[in-house]
Amino acid sequence: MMAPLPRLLVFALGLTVLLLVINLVRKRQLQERYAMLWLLAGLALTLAPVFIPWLDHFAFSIGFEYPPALLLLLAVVGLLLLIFQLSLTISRDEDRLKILTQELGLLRHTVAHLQRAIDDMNDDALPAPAESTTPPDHD
Amino acid sequence: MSRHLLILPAHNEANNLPRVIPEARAAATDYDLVVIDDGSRDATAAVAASLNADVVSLPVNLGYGGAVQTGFRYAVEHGYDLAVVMDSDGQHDPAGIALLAETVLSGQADVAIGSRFRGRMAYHQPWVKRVGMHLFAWTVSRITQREVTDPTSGFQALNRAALLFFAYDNYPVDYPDADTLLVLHFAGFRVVEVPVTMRERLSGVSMHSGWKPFYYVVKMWLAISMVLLRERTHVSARRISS
Repeated sequence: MMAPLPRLLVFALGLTVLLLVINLVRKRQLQERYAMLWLLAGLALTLAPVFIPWLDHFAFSIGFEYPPALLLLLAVVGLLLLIFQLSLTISRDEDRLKILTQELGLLRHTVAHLQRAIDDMNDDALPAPAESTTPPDHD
Repeated sequence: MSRHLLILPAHNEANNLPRVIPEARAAATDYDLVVIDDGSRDATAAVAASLNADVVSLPVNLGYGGAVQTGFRYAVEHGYDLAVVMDSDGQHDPAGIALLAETVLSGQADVAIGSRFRGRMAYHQPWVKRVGMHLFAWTVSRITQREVTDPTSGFQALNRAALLFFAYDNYPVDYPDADTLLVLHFAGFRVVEVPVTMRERLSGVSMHSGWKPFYYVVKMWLAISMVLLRERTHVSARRISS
């Protein structure tokens, strides 16, 4: 059985996590799909004082001699899942970043070429009339 | 008229380019030359431009494979039929370009790879990596039924089909190696090795320095296993038809 003070602390911690996450989503600094896991974590902490006695019973019944070990196990598994999701996201983002970087480099090269061609054309051409009746050619 | 491109991936090679670019031009007269500046922090791009080379500057450092792949995309998008990749640190003797290109142009191969072990060798490497490389070369040779002696060589010539295959997919960001050769083999490309000379780099820091050779061996083993697994489970790379 958990003493009142630790219960209160866990409850406060859960509430803080929930508020923090909700506020970050509100300010659009955290995307909803990443917020869900953290909201779940915050909710679990907030409700922990209520279901911990029940969890202790459950831990005993499936053979844990030290019930908090089950809690820690669940916490570790949860964190591993979170980290795993981040690894997946990083892999995908690195792939995207690579393509964007390559495209950007190639585009900059093309733009520099076009700019040079335009400069050459302007150097060669006579000063254009102020109002041209023919639209510019596009390739 | 077939168009040829020489791709020089460069990361902080401002000191080497003034020697490497003229040397390469002299050896490959009918080639266009593009320097892929891989997010260098020195004057690589400016030096290359001052030598009248076309420069594609990547805003951030991608790594060797990412830079080379940019060169492949450039080659594909500008309609080249053949591209030769050469290190811009002076390790690859440009005299090898002709034989590499000839091997591909004659239709003997889709990809020609310059092997330092078939040619003249002037090169040092940590023993763990050397042993690993020989082991991987042996593995690839067994699977492809073709003798491969130098799977890490970045001195290569590729035809348009191979360029297309690598330009948008199937190419590692870090270092193409034995696993890349296996992917090529499974996709039905012919890979042939030709002898080339490799020298010690002119100046600067090699991309292999500081690399943990053990890490390399384990990573390569994993990469090769994955290529074999994909082939077995039929999710291996396929050719892009164009």
